[in-house]
Amino acid sequence: MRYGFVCTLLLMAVTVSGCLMHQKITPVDYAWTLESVLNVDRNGAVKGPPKTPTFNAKQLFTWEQCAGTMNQPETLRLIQNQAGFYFITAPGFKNVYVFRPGDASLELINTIGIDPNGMSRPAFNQRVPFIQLIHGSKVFMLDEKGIKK
Amino acid sequence: MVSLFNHTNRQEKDHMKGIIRTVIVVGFVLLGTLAPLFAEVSDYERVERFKAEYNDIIKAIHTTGDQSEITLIAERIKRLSDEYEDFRAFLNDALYPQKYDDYIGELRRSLSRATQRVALTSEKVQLSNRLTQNRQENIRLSLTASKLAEENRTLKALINKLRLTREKDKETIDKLNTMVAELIEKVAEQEKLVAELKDKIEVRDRAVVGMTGELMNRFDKKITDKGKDKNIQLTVEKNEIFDIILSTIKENSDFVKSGFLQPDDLIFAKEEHDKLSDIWERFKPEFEAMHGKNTESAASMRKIQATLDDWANQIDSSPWKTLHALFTDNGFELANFQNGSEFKNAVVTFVDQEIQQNKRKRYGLFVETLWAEEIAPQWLPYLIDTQRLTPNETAEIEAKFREWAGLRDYLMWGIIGGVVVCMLVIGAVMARRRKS
Repeated sequence: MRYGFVCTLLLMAVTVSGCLMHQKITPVDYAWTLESVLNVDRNGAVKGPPKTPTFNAKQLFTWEQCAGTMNQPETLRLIQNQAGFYFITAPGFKNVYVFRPGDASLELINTIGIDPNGMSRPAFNQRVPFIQLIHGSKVFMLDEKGIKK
Repeated sequence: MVSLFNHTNRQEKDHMKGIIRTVIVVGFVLLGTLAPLFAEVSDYERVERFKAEYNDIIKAIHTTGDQSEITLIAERIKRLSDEYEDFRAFLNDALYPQKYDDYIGELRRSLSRATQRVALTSEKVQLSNRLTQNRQENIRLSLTASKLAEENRTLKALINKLRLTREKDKETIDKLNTMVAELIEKVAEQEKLVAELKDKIEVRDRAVVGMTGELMNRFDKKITDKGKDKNIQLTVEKNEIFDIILSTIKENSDFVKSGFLQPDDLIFAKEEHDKLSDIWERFKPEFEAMHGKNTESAASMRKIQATLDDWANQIDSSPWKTLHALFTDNGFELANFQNGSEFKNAVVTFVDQEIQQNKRKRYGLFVETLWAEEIAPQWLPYLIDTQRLTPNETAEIEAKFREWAGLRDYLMWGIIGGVVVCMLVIGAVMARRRKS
């Protein structure tokens, strides 16, 4: 009897806490109309207009093997898709990096390889539900998982 | 024969090859040229291009001063609007917090203001040219009228001297008559010139009043709009009005300074003064609001106020100067006078001196000719109407003239009495002789 009562209490507690943890507003559309073109200073600090995240891109340049070199880009192109993932690339980058906003951080979710020789003038367009990447005459449709055929 | 056939066939093949090669090259060139048109464009670049074109057009609107440029800008706005019409929804989002329609609307409003400004500038240039022509014509007329007035005064003085002379022979009378005829002709010519000058001044002043009034209305409408470009435009237009008002006031003041004006001309000058004073009173707050209360603007405002005051002073002092010149030209040295009281005193003192020194000698010329023919009909009504001379002062002068005239009567009675006594004496002497 006592055992049954304790079990019931535990079940109720788990149910209530579970309900609280999963409370959310849906659907939310995070899609930006337009990509942001952010300036990068010599120290890798990225700062754009209000409402765009401020961060340091040195780690990104290390991954792209252009940190501290003359090839370090002066601008980064950033766009957020409908699901809320950030897509980042820059002139000279070989990849597009997909991040998820974390607790005062950007968590790398995916690295999408585009051109092993680097992109000269990449640009993002919002094409819901995808992000369109323009690289010269080539066009790629991306989501957080990679290139969509 | 076979060889010839083979040769012709080879030529045709070569020709065909050439054509195919040309078509391929042209095809590649066309493909290279047209390919970018069909390529995907970055939305960001599209927005930046739109903004750049917008800024470029706005800049062109602000600097344009020509109707043909306005037409070209209108075409550019239409092209921009047509080009981006398909992206209207996208641009409405991308240009947040503004919208695509706000941008296009602002371009059209700016162009409309620029069109008004260009039209206004064109009107002002035309008006300015007319004013310059009018100014030159006025200067010419003014100089001629001034010269003629001086000649007339000299002629009048000569005529009066001849009238005083005792030698009333035929030659003198003929000369006098010729001079009087010449004077009448010259006075008519002078009056015609002054009338023409007045017409031109009036037309000019009316144009200035009309233009400033219209600009004021436009300022009143525009003053509600905020924006750097509009303020610059207002500043330019207000400075131009300021210059026009200042030069017009100066010219009017010079007209009064010329010294040949009759009472009618002075009444006209006063009316023009009041009109332009009114314009200045209306314009002054705009000017203050535009420049603030800094030293330079205060100096400019003092300058225009001083010119207006000088004009008013000229109108006030002009009749006294003209009257004094009239006396002097006719050989009567009166003390200077600046107002009705001084005028009365000068005339009374002069008559007293004449009574003491010359008795009745110059009574006829002073009172019967100069006063009765010129001053009393032309100047006295004006002096009294404009309250420069009071009825009491006029009465005092006339009383003094009667005293002078009375002195002349005593003399006449003396002469008559003398003649009678002489006749009586002669009669008595003749009667005694008969008796003896």
